[in-house]
Amino acid sequence: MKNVELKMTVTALLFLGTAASASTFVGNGGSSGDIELKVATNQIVESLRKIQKSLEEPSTPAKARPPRNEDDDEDDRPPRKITERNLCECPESFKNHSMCNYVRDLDDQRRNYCDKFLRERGPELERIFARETAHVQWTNDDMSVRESEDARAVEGVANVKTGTITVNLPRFLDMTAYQRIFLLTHEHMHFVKEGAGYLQDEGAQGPFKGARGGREFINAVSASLAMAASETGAIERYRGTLSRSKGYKSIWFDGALLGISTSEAGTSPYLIGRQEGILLGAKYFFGDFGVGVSLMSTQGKMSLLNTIKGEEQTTYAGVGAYYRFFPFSNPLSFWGQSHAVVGLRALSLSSRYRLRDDFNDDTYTTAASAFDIGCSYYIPFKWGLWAFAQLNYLQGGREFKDLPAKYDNNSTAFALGVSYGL
Amino acid sequence: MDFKFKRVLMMTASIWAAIVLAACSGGPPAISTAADEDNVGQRLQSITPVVDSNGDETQAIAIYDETAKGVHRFNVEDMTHLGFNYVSEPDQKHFVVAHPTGNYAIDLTYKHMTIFTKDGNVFRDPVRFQSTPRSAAYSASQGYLAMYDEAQTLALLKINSDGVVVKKAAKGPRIGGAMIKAGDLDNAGHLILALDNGTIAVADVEASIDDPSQWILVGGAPIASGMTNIDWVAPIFGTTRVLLHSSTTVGLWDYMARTMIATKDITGRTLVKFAKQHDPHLIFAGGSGSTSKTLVYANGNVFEERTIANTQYTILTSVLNVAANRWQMVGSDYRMSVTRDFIFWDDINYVKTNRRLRAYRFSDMLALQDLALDDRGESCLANSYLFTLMPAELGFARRQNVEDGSEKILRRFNQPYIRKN
Repeated sequence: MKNVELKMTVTALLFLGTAASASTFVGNGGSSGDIELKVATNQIVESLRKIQKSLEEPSTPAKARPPRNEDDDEDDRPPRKITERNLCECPESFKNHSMCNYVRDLDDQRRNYCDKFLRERGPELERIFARETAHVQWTNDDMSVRESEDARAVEGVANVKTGTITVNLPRFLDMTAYQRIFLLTHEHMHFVKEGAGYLQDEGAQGPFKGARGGREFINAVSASLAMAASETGAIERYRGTLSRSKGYKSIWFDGALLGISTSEAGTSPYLIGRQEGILLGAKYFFGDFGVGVSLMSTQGKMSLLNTIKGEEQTTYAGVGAYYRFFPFSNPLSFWGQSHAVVGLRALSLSSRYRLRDDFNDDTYTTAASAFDIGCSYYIPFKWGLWAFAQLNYLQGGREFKDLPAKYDNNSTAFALGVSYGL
Repeated sequence: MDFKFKRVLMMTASIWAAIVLAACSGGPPAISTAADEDNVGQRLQSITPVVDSNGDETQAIAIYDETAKGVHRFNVEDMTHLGFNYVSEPDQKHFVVAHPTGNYAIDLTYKHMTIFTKDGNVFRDPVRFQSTPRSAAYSASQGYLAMYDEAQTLALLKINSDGVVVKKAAKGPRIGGAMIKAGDLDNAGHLILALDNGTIAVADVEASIDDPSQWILVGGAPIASGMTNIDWVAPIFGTTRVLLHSSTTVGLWDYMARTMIATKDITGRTLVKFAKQHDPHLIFAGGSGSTSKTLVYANGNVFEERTIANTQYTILTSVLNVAANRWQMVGSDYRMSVTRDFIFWDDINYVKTNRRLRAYRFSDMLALQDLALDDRGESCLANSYLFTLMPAELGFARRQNVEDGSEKILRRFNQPYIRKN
């Protein structure tokens, strides 16, 4: 990469104070972008390996691949090995795809050069990815590079000297899987040795002539690898992982059905030991620690003797502090995104009790404070949705002096609900 | 016209048995063999009036409540709750006697008597008896309680105003070779007892308590009355006279002079009501085909009859005060059967169908009041008010002023006392 340090001026990198490293994943579900980065990296590495494996397999006799019967709805011809074609040509299924734009107009010389690179130097590229030769870091700022007199907006910039690749996180998250493979391959290509230096955008590269020949070559390789990832199944294999809800989200909204049981509810016949209702909550996490508010509303009923009916409605409003942790280490897996949240809440509760029989109908109210400690476990679905189960232990009773009824101080609550992480 | 009864009509010592109102709402129970006759004092029932010798209207009542399994005491003047005590035998039937100002309440059940005082003292079984209480005569001013059970035991107690039993004795029914058949207390410390041989024994209550081995009689021995099978004795308060009833005769007996003052032949007449309140009287049905009724009472040395107003078909309870010129009753349209169409014992709650309270000026039967009773409730009629306990498990009671129908309500008095099963 010649003169990279002189010619490339990354305008926004001056404001790179907002850059954050992609996390190490281990046990914390990953941060924003980490999943997508890891998936794209895996897709690239798997595709490169599959290409190599295909090359190592004994070649089949060079039979002409029979043409497809146009009357058949499905193509039931035996699948073609990926290496049976030029790796830098557009497969049929990508004929109209944007990735094809980088290789469609290549002449045979350039196409073969690109193809040869992937076949012969694919393992080298794979090692760059596998050894994390380049460390990816995120930025939220726009970036551009200056080429000669012009500035060009870019989503990523490689710096071989520092061993970093800086990627615009919001743009990266908006990309398709193909675009991410293309971008990461392009930037990692700058860490491939070429002569005394490294591959770079400026200047000619083999039959790729002109001031931007290097860039055209790198783009051709990157696009070809992106298209190959579809053929190797890597795109489909990670579709579920990408759509799965992510645990690193900061803002959470919870809704659940709730049951609260008060143990050893005293001797008053008016105590209602079990109440059921709903829970609504919102949390904000700063990393693994968070704060939140919640509202619970429960009601319970009892009947006594022949005609006495009691109904109680209790509302709890709480603020709490939380900690979440991911017990499983692979953030790309279902269990890897599942996580537990433990919390401590201060609660203010108010309760109304209606007691009636055929001749009396009275309502009593009371208020009290309590605190609880609880644990929730979240399992991911798609599109930000989660299911969770929650168990809380409440400490703090309430009393209706005029009933009379005094609740015990200990209660347990269990909730099952859904959550949305934003 | 303002008037004031001198005596307790039904509230001096209301005795409430089990208030199982649901059981009463479907229709009257089978005719009890323990009717108003053959009793000493007032028959114990769901609400039993016991006449106090002073005749003052009580300020307090007591109720046994089956929901809370205990005895409530109320002040009926301002409808406040005075206190509550759980009973020891909640599965048994209970009857209650109350001190007129709420100082204590006496709980009676099978083989047991308990006194609950307003100070929180509980006196258990001051006297032993072996059967179910049947009737009682109570005089709060004298402190005497004479409780009569199904085994014909008479438990005599003297109780001070704090509910402490000063002296007590249990007496058997045999006096001078004959057996007690009926009786009642006067307001001079005497128990007037009709024996089954037609004699009248006048027992000195204090002396009889002091001598546990025998009855101490005024005059030493019973006196022949000239009547046989006397089954009802009703003292005329303020005098030494009693009304006596047998199946053929009503007698006016002076027990101190030991002579019969007057008699009335009632052969062939249909008795429809015994009534001891305020002035004892009896009511008879009119002749064949007649819908009127006749009230018979003692006026001085003679019996008088008064045709009473066209009342409802069944008279449940009747209260007469001759001096105050007032007669009031509670009746119902209910007819028991074609052949037996009256209820002759005094029980305001025996039927609960279209009950109405009617009051009259006795001299000319001018109607003074007509109030409908709440047929869901157990009622108790005093001189000037009607107290009704509603079938509310949490507690609901109403006091209606007879004169103007105004009400006071007391609610939720059971609520603190209901226990978990």
